[in-house]
Amino acid sequence: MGIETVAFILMGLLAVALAGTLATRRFPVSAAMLLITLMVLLAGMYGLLDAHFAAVAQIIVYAGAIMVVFVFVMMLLNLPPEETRFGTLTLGEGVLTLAGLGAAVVLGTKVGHGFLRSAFQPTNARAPFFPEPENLKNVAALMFTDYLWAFELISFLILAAIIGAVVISKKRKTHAEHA
Amino acid sequence: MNHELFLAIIVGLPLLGAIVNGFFLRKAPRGVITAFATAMIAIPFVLSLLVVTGPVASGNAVSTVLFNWISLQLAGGGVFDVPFAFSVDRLSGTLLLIITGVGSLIHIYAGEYMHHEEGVYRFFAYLNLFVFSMLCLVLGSNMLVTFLGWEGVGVCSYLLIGYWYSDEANAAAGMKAFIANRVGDLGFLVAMFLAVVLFGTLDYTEIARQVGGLSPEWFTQNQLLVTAMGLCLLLGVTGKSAQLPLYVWLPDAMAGPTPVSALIHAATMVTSGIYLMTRMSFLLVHSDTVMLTIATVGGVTALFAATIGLVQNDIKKVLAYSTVSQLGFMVLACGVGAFQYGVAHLMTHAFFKALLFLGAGSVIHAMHHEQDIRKMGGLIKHLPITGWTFVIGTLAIIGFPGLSGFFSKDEILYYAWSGPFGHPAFWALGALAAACTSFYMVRLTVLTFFGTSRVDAHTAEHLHENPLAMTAPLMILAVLATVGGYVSVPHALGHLFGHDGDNLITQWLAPVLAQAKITMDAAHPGHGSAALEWGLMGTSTLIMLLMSGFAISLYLRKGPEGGASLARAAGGLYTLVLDKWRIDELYQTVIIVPLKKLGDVFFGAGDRAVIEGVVNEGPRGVYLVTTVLSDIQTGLLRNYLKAIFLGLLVLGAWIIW
Amino acid sequence: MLSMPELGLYFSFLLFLVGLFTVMFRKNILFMMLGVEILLNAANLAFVSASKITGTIDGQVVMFFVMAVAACEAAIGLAMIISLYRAKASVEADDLKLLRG
Repeated sequence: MGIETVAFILMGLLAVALAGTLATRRFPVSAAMLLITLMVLLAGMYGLLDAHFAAVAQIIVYAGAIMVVFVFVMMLLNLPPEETRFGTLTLGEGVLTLAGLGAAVVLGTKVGHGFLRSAFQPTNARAPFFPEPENLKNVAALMFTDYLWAFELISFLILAAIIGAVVISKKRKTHAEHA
Repeated sequence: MNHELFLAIIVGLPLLGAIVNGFFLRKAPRGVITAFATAMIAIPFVLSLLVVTGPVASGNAVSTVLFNWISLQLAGGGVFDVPFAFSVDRLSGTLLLIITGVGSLIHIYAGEYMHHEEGVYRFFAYLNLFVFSMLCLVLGSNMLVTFLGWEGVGVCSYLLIGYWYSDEANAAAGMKAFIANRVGDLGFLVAMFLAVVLFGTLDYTEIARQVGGLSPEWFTQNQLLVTAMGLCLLLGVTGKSAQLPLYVWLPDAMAGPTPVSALIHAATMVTSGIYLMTRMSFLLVHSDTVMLTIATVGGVTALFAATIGLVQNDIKKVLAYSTVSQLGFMVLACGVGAFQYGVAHLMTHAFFKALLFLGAGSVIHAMHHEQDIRKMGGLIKHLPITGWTFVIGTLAIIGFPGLSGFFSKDEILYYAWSGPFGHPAFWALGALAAACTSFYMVRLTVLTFFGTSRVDAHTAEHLHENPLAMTAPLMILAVLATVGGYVSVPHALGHLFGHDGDNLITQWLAPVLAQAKITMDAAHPGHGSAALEWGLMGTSTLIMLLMSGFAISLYLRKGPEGGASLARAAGGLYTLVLDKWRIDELYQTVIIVPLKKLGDVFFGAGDRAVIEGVVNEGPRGVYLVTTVLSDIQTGLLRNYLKAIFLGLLVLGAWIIW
Repeated sequence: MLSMPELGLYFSFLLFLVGLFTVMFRKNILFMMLGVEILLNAANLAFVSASKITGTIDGQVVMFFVMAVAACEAAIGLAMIISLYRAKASVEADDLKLLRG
């Protein structure tokens, strides 16, 4: 087992542990900080998987931009620390949840080696996977050819989201102010 | 000249007038509305004169197909076409001239009469629409176009009777007219169905051609259907032409403005039944049952309505019952096979009854909407033109020798006795009705225009003759009522007027009635003679003079009290007649109340139980289901997430296995 | 022995479970949104791993698109949270049940 694999396993385990910690935090801000760390770890894992563009984008866009918005909003609201409350579970819901988690684990186990192998067969139909420095070039080539329509639609989606965010968070005039 | 185009214009202009008046002239000055509406009738009158005196007089029917209305491919391979077509022959030409001519006069008159009313545009829109419908009725070259007009005049009649709709009684009168007409319309509809069954077409000419070619054996085999069709037509006639048993709407229809009464309920619409019977004469004469029923209905109606007219005190009501009675004469004429005299009387009646109604309207207008003749009297001093023209109209209707009613009515009475389907009993009915007519018309005239004035002082101050726009139509109609009868000079008097053969109306309508005449001549030769004609003429003139004199002697001096002793002598009979034989009450008890009861039964068992049950219980079931469904919608985010999670599991399981 | 990208898929699965847990059982909407981010990241990890397994680059392109969608989601979601907080002075998911049937 190479050093890369060991690092990958360690990073993965740490990421899952961070996620678990995050889920039980009282302060939203500390949870957000944990999430940022988690994302940096994930970026490292992407790098180990030879997806360098993905790793860079993960840090710049996700950890950098999106999480900043989160933290910004949390500080804006300035919520008091809440006791970590989970939704009160009735007996039926508890049973249902346990059954669901059990089923999930069973499914996860079932999704074993064989299934993964069969589900993700290597294929030569597309541009072959090249390690760096060709990675960014290949992603770009694919994105602006086969996925051009998706790319354009996503850009419209972002535009709509920007406008939507402005409209939603704008302070509305009350009826009295209108009159 | 293009007479086919004229025909389309004749029918089209009144429709245009109705649309423009109804939709675009709401705010226009009264003068514009009146002038426009009148022009839309007067121009067709001029064109009608051109068409009727031109090609129609020389024996050629003018017809035009506007478009193909209904076209069906029959299963058997045939084609059933109903074109939207108009045609004028001598019969429809006669009515065309009456409708547009009298219509124009009444439009001129109405412009002045309705001067103070609100919403005149509505009045003239309806009036123009009526004329359009009436022209469709008369000019339609098949039964369906006629039926369109037939329904159209019914609608316009309803609208105009209820013109002052804010008064509930007027609105109710409109509805009564409409419903009574609907009953008759059902008859017309069934007659049309039978025509399709028997002949496969609705075209008058085509039906006539087929009937002409049919063998007597065919008629023996299909006697039932032919009779049924005739009786159904008669039902339509009783509705539209106000005959027993459906006449009840016409007296109530007097709730409308007086020009409407004159145009619709005297001169044109109510005579459409006569037109229809004359149009279908070739078929009707094939069934003795039908002809005798028609004659009986006409004769009985003539006498029955005349008796009610004897005691009425409302100037328009008297004229209304008189109209029913005179229509009875026309129907009687058709029933005994003297269709041409039905049409002749239709024409003279259109003149003198329109004159009388317009005269009555003139009185009512001058008297500020007072209609009770007991509060009139001596009006001839104040309303000379109205009064003397009214007298001419009265003399015409009672059949004073030399005026129009004399010729047309005497011919009917003569044929009621001696016509192909005539019988002395019919003559007796007619003669009695004529006697009553003389009495009530003279009574009406005397009480209104002569004797001492019973007008209250306030009204008397303002009493003056109406303007020329109202009196001019009266004078024109008075001339027509005087000379109109010369088309149907009795045979016996023919040599006085320079024609020994058939009189003018018989000659004029001969092409239309030729087919019926052949059939009637074969089965029922007439049995008249000059002596009989002279005798009957003398008798009826004598009756007329006696009854008129009797009425004058009763009412001239004493006013309305003159009839009191007679009324006391009659006792209960007088009250019964005053209550119009309680026919309305009879219908109320026999038809309307049971119908309402039946309606209540359906309301309880059908509407309440079934329909409301479904309507109420259905939603209750839906409500129960939705209560359960809406309980699932807790509004809590985590519940939805759970549902998503479960769905995810199911999907995952489905993909993997 | 599992290869690296296959391990990535397993980690993705575990992350997804934790994210799901956060979304379902935290009552604070902010935490629920963080849970959604974990879910998206888990999915991204799966995409990148699959990309490595199959030797094609499509997974990485899709991962980029997911990132864009996540950005939209964050923008709109946070705007809604601000708006809600203004209206109700609360970020508790259970307080928002106007849609109850």
